[in-house]
This record gives sequence, structure tokens and C-alpha cells, in this order.
Amino acid sequence: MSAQPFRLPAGGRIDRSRPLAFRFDGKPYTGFAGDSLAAALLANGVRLVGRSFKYHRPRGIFSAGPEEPNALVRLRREARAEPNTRATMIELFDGLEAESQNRWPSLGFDLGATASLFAPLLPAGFYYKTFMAPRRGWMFYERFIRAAAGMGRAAEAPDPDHYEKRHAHCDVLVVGGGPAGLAAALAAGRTGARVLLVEERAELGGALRREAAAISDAPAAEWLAATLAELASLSEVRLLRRATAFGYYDHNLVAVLERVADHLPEPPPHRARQVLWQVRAPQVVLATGAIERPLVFAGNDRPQVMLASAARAYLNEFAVAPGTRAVVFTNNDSAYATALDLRRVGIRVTAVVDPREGSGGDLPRRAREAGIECRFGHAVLAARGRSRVSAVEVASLGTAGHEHGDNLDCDLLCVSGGWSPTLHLHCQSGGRPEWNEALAAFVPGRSKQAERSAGAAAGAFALVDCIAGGLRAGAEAAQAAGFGTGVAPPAPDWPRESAAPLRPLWSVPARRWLKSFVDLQDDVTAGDIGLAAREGFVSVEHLKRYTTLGMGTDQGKTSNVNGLALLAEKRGEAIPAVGVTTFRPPYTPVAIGSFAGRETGRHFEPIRRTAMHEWHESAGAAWIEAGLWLRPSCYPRSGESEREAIRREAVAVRQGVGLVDVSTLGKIDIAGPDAAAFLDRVYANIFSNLPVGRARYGLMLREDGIVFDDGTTSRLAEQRFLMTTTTANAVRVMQHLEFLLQTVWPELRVAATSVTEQWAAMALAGPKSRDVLARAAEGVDVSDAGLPHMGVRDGRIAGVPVRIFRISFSGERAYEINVPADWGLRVWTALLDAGRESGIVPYGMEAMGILRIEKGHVAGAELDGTTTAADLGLGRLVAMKKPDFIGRHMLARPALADPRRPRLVGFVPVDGATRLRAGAQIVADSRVPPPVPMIGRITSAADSPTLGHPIALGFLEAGASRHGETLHALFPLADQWVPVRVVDPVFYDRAGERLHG
Amino acid sequence: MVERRSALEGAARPGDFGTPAAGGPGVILGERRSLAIVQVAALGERDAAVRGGIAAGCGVAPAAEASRAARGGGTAVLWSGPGRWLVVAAEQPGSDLAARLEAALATAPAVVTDLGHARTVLRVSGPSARDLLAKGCPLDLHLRTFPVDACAHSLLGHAGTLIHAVDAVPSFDLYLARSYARSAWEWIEESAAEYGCRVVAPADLTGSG
Repeated sequence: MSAQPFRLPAGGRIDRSRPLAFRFDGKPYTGFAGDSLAAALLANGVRLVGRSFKYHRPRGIFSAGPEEPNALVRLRREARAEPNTRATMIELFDGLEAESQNRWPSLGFDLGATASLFAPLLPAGFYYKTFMAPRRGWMFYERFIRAAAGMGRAAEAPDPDHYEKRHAHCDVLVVGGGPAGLAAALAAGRTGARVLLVEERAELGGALRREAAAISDAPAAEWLAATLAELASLSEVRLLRRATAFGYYDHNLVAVLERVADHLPEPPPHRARQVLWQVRAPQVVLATGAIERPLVFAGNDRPQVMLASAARAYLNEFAVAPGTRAVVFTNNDSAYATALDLRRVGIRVTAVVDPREGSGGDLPRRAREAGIECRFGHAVLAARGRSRVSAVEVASLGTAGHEHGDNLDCDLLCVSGGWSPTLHLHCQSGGRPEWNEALAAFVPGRSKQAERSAGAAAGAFALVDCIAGGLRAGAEAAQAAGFGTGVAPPAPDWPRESAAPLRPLWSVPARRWLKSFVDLQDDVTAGDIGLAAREGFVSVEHLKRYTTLGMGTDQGKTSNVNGLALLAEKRGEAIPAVGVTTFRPPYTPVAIGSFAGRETGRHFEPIRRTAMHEWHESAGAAWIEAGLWLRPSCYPRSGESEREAIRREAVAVRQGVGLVDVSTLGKIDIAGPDAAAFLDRVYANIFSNLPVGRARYGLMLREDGIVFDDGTTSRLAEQRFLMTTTTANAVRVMQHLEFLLQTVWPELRVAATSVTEQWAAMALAGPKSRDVLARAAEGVDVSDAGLPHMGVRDGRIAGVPVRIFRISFSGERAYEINVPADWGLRVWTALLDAGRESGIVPYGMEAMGILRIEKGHVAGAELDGTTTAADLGLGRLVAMKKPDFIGRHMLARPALADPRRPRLVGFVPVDGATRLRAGAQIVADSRVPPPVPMIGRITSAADSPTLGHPIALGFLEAGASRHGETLHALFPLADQWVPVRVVDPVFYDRAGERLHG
Repeated sequence: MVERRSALEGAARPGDFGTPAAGGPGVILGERRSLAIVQVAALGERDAAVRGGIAAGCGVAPAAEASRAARGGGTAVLWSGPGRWLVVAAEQPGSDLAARLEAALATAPAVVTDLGHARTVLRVSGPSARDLLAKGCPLDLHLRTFPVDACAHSLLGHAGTLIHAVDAVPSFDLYLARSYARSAWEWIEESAAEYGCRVVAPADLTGSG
């Protein structure tokens, strides 16, 4: 246990009774519960925590918040390791392990730092310049650039934790749990509105937690306690901590990342590590606070150069002394509070350096009264030191850059260049920030969505103004959402400290060889911006891309305004004329895992299961995916390969009897007085003359005349039909019908209802199928007279009602049996029992595929969205005598009527043995040089056990007249070409006798 | 009547799991079985005769507004779309709900479709029921916007569902397509674990439809 040499003896909001052990770069340290990792490192005197992106310069802890550009570490180990986490936002936990990044072999001695020696060769845009002359140069540079690029290392093992999403709704969403946000939540909550407040930190209170004053100053502390207590008492107010609103989208959809378990070694059982909230709120209050700006001067990136507000946070919230001798460099009054707080805990404040000629504000006055030396009209020319600041050079502003100034020894330099309201969400909502000259900052512009800003986010920095603004915003938002009168509760009546205006100081002139950083994370210097401006990158959007300003993981939170101001200076224009960079989501980095949520592994997609699924599973089915369904592809017996099983199953159907689960076919109940008329319009063939108790094959076209789907549709009653669709198109056909009924023909009195889920369906096929059915079925005559081909009858099997359709996909005598789904398994097993003496075999999709190819029946591979009924050899079905049906008019297009269109044909290998492949292209002569004219394609192929040789279906230009020709099937992926003979697409039982066999 | 085999047979095992809160499980989960579910679709916009027929056929008149359910005597009539209702009641031997509705609506411009086996109906109840559903359902199920007997089609994760607010506990009935039921059940079980979940046997689900 180390001693935490920089921990103050008292104060802070840490829990000193709970010491926590942690490791940084392998070395053990201790901190306290309530520490951030950054605070604990500072307490232990660790000043150097990382190396910069481009020049590998030593870097320390710069901020105490989400804007941190420097202190990025790799948190946790192995599968849970997470690169580029901000040490300032990591809550310390016992056993935490972190390591520094972008250094090799060690943080103290980093070979990459030699990059600094080549700095003159690495100017802004050097990456783009490597693409230019010499032309072959890039080939050489690429290896080195690729090796040097990037920050951090991701974990390689799968993430052991899970993530979740959730939806949330409220009347008023408040973003930010500081004084303004709490006030807004209070004012809105009192009206009875549903309020959700999200705060990215673990505790509420915002800047109040960092004000020494709030802790000793009774009114502010009391206000905070009373507000939190009242909020807790309001049942419709929900306070969500450790939750960052990172994205603001259209229609007031705000994305929030809740870090449920990031402050723990690992998530508790059943809890997600992070939850992605999608919040829909009629009204949003943005109380996102402000971020302090750095000042740009030579060496301003040295470790121990720190934002003045951050130094204050470490002192007051964490009771950590960030140094022993401090200099404060500020262009505004707020940093004097830091000087006072440093002095209060006994840290020597050598001087406050202020470029202004003076300040009549309360804080500077108190600093002077406390005996702190204030050097007005001065600036810090340079911070000196290597791995940490050891001294600063201070000179009068008038002489800066010309003469050497005074050297002041120090080990901490606190800087403040003013404050920038946090406008990210306002910008994302469509708002365009406006420049406020008095604050020298962008403030929210006109709202494009139902949002309003309050507190520091709106440019009101004094505590009383934050609270008053928050109360007002909360009351107004609630009223806009339909709650309350819009009148804000009274704000506290505290005296306001007077503050003098700041003096913009966008950069301090520096000697040529010294670097003044604008963007610490991406190593962009004031010189780089000057260079970009000289090279013509005068638009801020171009500047950003050319120099990479603001393009790190911090998205330029501390650098945007300084960069913009410097560009304006170079162009000699006002800042608003240069524009403003826009902010895109996310506000802070978000792990991809949270976007995936639970939708990984078995929940990536749901599995749809038929009523017989468990039976297939226990029968050892091999599965095939059909949309979201799992269907048996075959049922291999022990010692049998899948190929052998498929062959056995197909043979069994041809010679005996088989049973297949066809529950996945789409089934649509179409009923009403106009049902028949409706079907005549949606099918290319006629249904109105179909007798009750009969089924008919139907062909459905798209509006453009191309075949959409096919299936059998049966007439169950005068005004009721049952349509079936292919599995793949079940949903699309249903949508098509609903669209037609609701928008095209609303006058038709027809209801279409999907009943796919209601019915389990199975096909009993093969020459012995009738024997099996006769044994199983009751109450129905299954003789050819009682149940003819394409007949439909009701009956009972195993004591439950079934509907029997005599239809066939295999070409054998076959019956499709529909049964209410909860009884599907019962009927399935009853049929298997009844079929045992006939040697019944369950068969899967693969055998079914072979059987239909042998019969030349088209399926999804042929109905591929490019084929017409004529192409499929089904032209005779199209009833052009009907006045109208979907697709009729477009069928007359010349391209669809062209006799040379590819037509369905069969192919067999000339050698009678070589297997054909779906996807092969048909060419007339394989010896001609490329490009070889392709005259056809193979769509389905099988090794036919019935015929004893491979067969295939496909399309061939003018195919109907080319039966008997020898062509070539080319499959370049396998470097295969096979001589094939063109044959009739019906390979087996062309007369259809087996349907009755 | 021959016993029906639920899509959740073997998946839904009664018992407690997960991390319950101090006051007991946050979610009570069970399947409502042996339900007759019949859809009535009105043909055309004048549906007064259809509403009357439904009332005559099942004893409960549909609610006057959209997205509302009406209940009485163990029967619920759920609005499921413009001119469409689902009539739900416990199956009773010798009394076929679909046939009764067919008869009552014989002369009305309506189509009656039996969907009794097409839906798996889950009841999700308990203090954390809303938090659980919020993980997969984009609807605002707060009592103010989704009061008792509100019903609406929505999503639960990947699965489409008709949600019916049954009481203010709160309890919700979820009507899921049968083929999705098992995947949805697994999703619910995993999502409910953090609140503590008690799976109850179908017979222990009291309360009317």
C-alpha cells in the first residue's frame, strides 16, 4: 500500500474508510472509493499517463471530465480490456487495472517519441501529401504510416458481458444533473409531468460538487440537499445516473448510454454492462454545462498543465493536491477561484498571470487580498520541463515573442481561456450556435426541435443564474408538454459575485521551434492551422479534415473554438464569419456492443419453429434455414452421410411413402362476398370458376408482369378460399394483398387474414400414401372418387379435425394435411404410426428439392424476380381473356413478349455422370475467346436417384426449340466446364400418371 | 376435447430464477393456455351490425374506441385494427366460440376466422413488468398513456405482438405468433432475470381474459 503522497488530509467527497487497490502499468497503488482513476493517479503522484498520438509527447491529466484529450488508458484486462477510456471518467474500483497507451517499450522511455525529431517532416496534411509526388512514394510510406496510426489496442477475445437496449418515454427529458438540470427537473416534476433526468456522472450536483463554497457555504449545500430530497419524493421523476445523452435525433429521440456496471470489476449476475436507452420526449431541457477552454502557448501540452477548473475539482471533490507550487494563467475571473482554493489548502500560488489590464471582479479582488501575486497584462510564453512542467516563462504581453520573460518555478500550471457552453446535443438537434461576443463563446441558437438550454449550456455561468434558468426551462418545458402553468418557482435570492469580462487570447506568440498545441489529442498545433490557412484551407470544415483538428475520440471538446478563432485570425475575419464546426453523435465514444444489445448469438434473429420442431430435433434432423424458420434438410440415420440420407428419402417417396413438414408455407384466409373476384385480380389465372372443395395452382404476377409467387389455392366455401404461398414470400404476399384491399380496391368486400400460424401442415407423398391415409383418417372417403386429384376434404386424424388437400409437389400421389397447430405433432406421429407397415420415411427439404426438380416444378430459384410465366413454361395459365389482373398490361411489353427470352429447359451432362451446379452459365462454344456470349444459366441442380444421373433446371435463350442440342455449362469459380444436353424440363413421368398411381 | 400441445411445452418450467428484489420477484411470467381466439373482420366501414353480432355471439360488445379492449364474464374483445377484433375466451367443451360467432354474424358483413392455435398468449405481471417490456417494446406502457384495457400491436424484441394491459399491477397479456413463441420466451426469461422472475404454471394464472 503506497501512501498517496498528494492526498490532502481532509475534505473531498471520497470515502476514506474504503481504500481501493489498483494498478497502473503494473505498479500497485491505492485510492479511495469516490475517486476517479485520474484523481487516484494524481493522489499517488503519477503525472505522466500517456503519449500523444502523433509526436508521442509525454502527456498528463488535463481535465477532470468527459473532455479529457490526454489521459486515455486501456482499462481492464484480456477479454474485458477497453482502449481509449478517459481516466477522468473512470470510477475507481478495487482491483482496477489500467495501462498507458501509445508507448513502446515503456511510458517513460518511448521509442515512438523519435517522431518529434521528424516533426518538420510531419506537417499538417502530411498524410495527404504522401499520396502526391513521388508517385511511388506511398507504397513505401504506407507500411510505416499504418504501423504508427491508431490509438489503443482492442481486446481480441469475445466480450464476456452483455448489453441491452431499452425504450423510455417521458414528458420532459432533462440532460444534465447539475444545478440547472436539477432545477429544471424540480420545476417540471412539481407539475406532475413525467420527468427523466440523465446525468453522466455517478453523483448529481454537477459543479456544486466541485465548489469548495458549496461544501462550506450552507445555502448552496442546503439547496442541493433539499432539491434532491424533493425530486426523490416525486413518483413520476426518474433520475438516471452514469447515463450520457450522446445523440439527439429527429422527432426528439435522444439516445442515452447508461453505464450500469462500468464502475464495477464485472457486472453483477444478469445485469448488462451498459444499456442503450432510446428516449422519446415531447420536450427536452439541455442542462449540459460548459467546458473550460485551454490557452494556446508553447509547451501547453506538458504534463501538469491542467485546466483551472480541473485543478479545483481535484482539490475539492477528491481532496488531491495536483501540485505543490502553482502558477495560474487565465484570461477571465473564474480561475481566480482555483488560485484561492489552492492557497486555502496550502499550495503555493506563485502568481496568477492574466493578459487583461486588470479586473474589478470579486474573485480577483479576493485573490489580491489573500496576498496572491496577480500579474496583469502578462502571459505565459512557454511551459518548460520534459515529462512535467518545472517552470513557466512569463512576459508582458507587449513584449511576448521578442524578449525573454521571467522564469517562475512551478510544478502545476492551471490554465483558463474562458468557457464554452456544451452545445453538442443542441447542434445535433438541428440548432445552429451563435457567437456571443461578450462571453467569447458560442451559445445555443434558435431551437429546431422541442428543446431548450439552461444554465451554463445557455451561457449563464453564475450559480444563481443556473438555478433560475433551470427552474424557468423546466416550468416552460412542462407547460409545453401539457403540464402546469409555465410559471417558474422562485429562485434562491443569493447575492451574485461580480465578474469582469474576459479578454480573448487565442494564442500567445511563440518562438518558431516551439509547439503550441490547439488539439492535444490529435497533436494539432497553432503552426499547423497557420500552414493550412496558407495552403488555402480556409473553410473550417476543410481545415478540420486537413489538420485533423477535433477529429480524435474527444471530438475537439477543448480545441474547437480555439482552432476556429485562430483560423479567423489568419483570415483576418470575425469568428462567426469563419463558421462553426457541427457536432455529430456521439457526444462521447459509445461501445458498439451497446448498439447490438441482446441481438447477438441466439438472439441475433429469432428462430421460427413449426409445431413438429421438437420431433425433427429428436429425430436427428439436419437443419436448413428458410427465412427465420428452421426446416429439416434431411434426417441422417447413424452411420449415414447427409447425401446418403437425402437419396434414401427421395427414393422412399418414389417407391413407398414419405412425410414432410410443410408448415412454413404461407397460408392466407381470403373470405367475403368478393373473395373470388379478388382472386381473379391478384392471380394471372382464373379462380372464380373453381368449385367448392377443389384446389388450383395459382400464379401471381407483379405489376411489371414478372412472376411474383405461386401456390395452390382452395375453395373451402362459396365465399372462402385458402391461399398458400411459398415460404419465402409469405409475408410479402400478405402485404401485397393488404395493400390492394386497403388502397386499390377498398370497395371489395373481402378480408384477408394470415393463418400460417394457425395450421400445421404436412405432406404425405408416394405410391403408398393413400394406404397410410386410409388407415389414419376418419370421416373422410380417401378413394379417388371421394378425394380426387386437386380435391379438398375435411376429416379427422387421431381424434382431431384435419383438412386434406390432394395436391402434389413431388409428382407422386400425395396429400397435404392441415391441422390446428397445437395438434400438429399429434397428427404427425399418428401418420408415422399408421405408415409404419408401409415403411414410411420422414423426408426433408433436400429430398423434396430433388423430387420437384425431377418433375420440372419451379421454385424460388426459378421465381427469381426476372422470369415471366412464359419463361417458366406456364404461359398457358395466364388468362388474357380476363379483363384485368395484376401484371396483365405490362405483359405486352416487347421485352417480355420477345420469343428469344430464356425459357425453362432441362439439362443433363453428356457423360451422364458429372454433377451440374446451380449458378453455372450456359455457353454455346467454350473455345471462343472471352467475352464468351452467355445464352443461359442453371438455376437448380440435383443428382437424381430415380434417373440415376445428374439433372438440372435452368433457362436458355429460345430454349423451347433447342431440346437435343449440346452446349456447355461453365462454372468459372470451380474452373469447371461440362458438356450438357438440352432436354425437356420434366425429367420424370411426363404424362403425370404417378399422381394417380 | 383432445388436449392441445403448447408451443412452449418443455420450455416454460415453473420456478424462480434471477436476482429478485427484496420484495420478491419483479416479474411473474406464465402462459395462458386453452384459449379460444377468434378474429372478426368487418367488411366495409359500417360496422354497427358487426359490433352487435359480436356482442350477441360472445356476450361482450367491443369497446367504442380504437386500441381498447372490452371484457366481461371471462371473455375479452380486443381491438386489433380498423374493423377488426379478437375475441378471446377460455375454451369450453361443447361450446365452439368460432361457431357461435359465425352464427351470430351470419347476416352481418363480417368474416370470422379461427386463430385459436395461431397465437401463444403470455401474461407478464409484477412491479418490474414495464421495465422488462421496455427492453423490447417501443410503446409507452405507462398507465397514463396505456391504461387498463388498452391494447395495441407492437414488437417485443424481434417478435410482433398484440399487447393488452390487463390490470394496474401492472399485468400485460402478450399475443405472439406461435412460431415465434419459443424464441420470445427465451428472450423474456433472459431479460427478466435481473428483476427476479417467477414462472407460474398455466393453471395458476388467474384473472379473466
